[in-house]
Amino acid sequence: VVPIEHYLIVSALLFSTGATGVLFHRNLVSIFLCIELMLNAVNLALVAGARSAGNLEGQALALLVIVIATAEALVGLGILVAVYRGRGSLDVDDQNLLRY
Amino acid sequence: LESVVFYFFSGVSLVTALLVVASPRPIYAVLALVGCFLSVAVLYGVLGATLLAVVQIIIYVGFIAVVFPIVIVLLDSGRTKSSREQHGVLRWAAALTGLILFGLLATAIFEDGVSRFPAEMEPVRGSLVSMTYFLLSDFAVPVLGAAVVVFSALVGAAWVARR
Repeated sequence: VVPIEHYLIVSALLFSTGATGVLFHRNLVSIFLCIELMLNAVNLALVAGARSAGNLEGQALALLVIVIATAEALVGLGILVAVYRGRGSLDVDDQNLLRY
Repeated sequence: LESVVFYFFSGVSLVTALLVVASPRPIYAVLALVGCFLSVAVLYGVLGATLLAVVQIIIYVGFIAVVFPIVIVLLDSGRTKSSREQHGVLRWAAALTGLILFGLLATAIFEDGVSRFPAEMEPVRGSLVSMTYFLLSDFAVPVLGAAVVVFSALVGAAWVARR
C-alpha cells in the first residue's frame, strides 16, 4: 500500500512545478495553463486527504474545485480575449496600465 | 498493483507537468497538460474516487483540450510570442522559488500531523451513488453556491468577451 505522504509529495511537486511555471512564462496563456496545473495538484491533495480520513468530504470538495476551476478558466479565457483585443499582445510585460 | 500503478502514473504526471512548464509554445503545453490530467485521473481511481476520475476526464480534460486550443488559434499567441521568454536571471529565480516552495511543502508534509493518519484502511469508494447522496445531503449548500458561481461566471465571461 502506498503511504499517504507519497501522494502528498506528488501533489506538492505538481504544485511547485505549476508555481515555477507561473513565474517562468511571460505568455498569459502559458501562465494560465500553469495555474490549472496548480489547481489539479490541490485536488490530488484533497483526494489523498479523503482517502486517509476515510470519508467523502475531500472528494466532494475536489469536485467543487473542478467545477469552480472550469468556471474560472472560462472567465479567464474571456479576459484573455478581451486583453488581446485591447492591447494586441498577451505578454505580461505589455500589460502595464495599472503599473504606476 | 496499486503501488506500481501509483508510481508509474505519478511519474508520468510529473514529467508532463515539467513539459507544461518547459515547452515554449502554448499548444504543446496544452497537450502535456492533458496528459498530466489524465494520469492524475488514474491516481484518483487508485485512491477510490471513481466518480472524480470520470469527471476529471470528461469535464476537465474535455474542457482543456477543446477550449484552450481554440483560444490559442484565435489569438495566434503561439506564433507571435514564442520567442519572448523570461530573462535568464529570472528563469533561475523562478526555478529557485519553486524549489523553496517544494521544500516548505515537503517540510510541512513530514513534520505535521498528516503522517499520523492510517493509510492502510480500505478506501471509501466515491462512486456515483454515494457521491450524489453526500453532495445533496451534507454538501447541499456548497453545491448551490457553486451553481451561483458558475452562472455568474457564464454571464461574466459573456460580458467580458463582448465586442
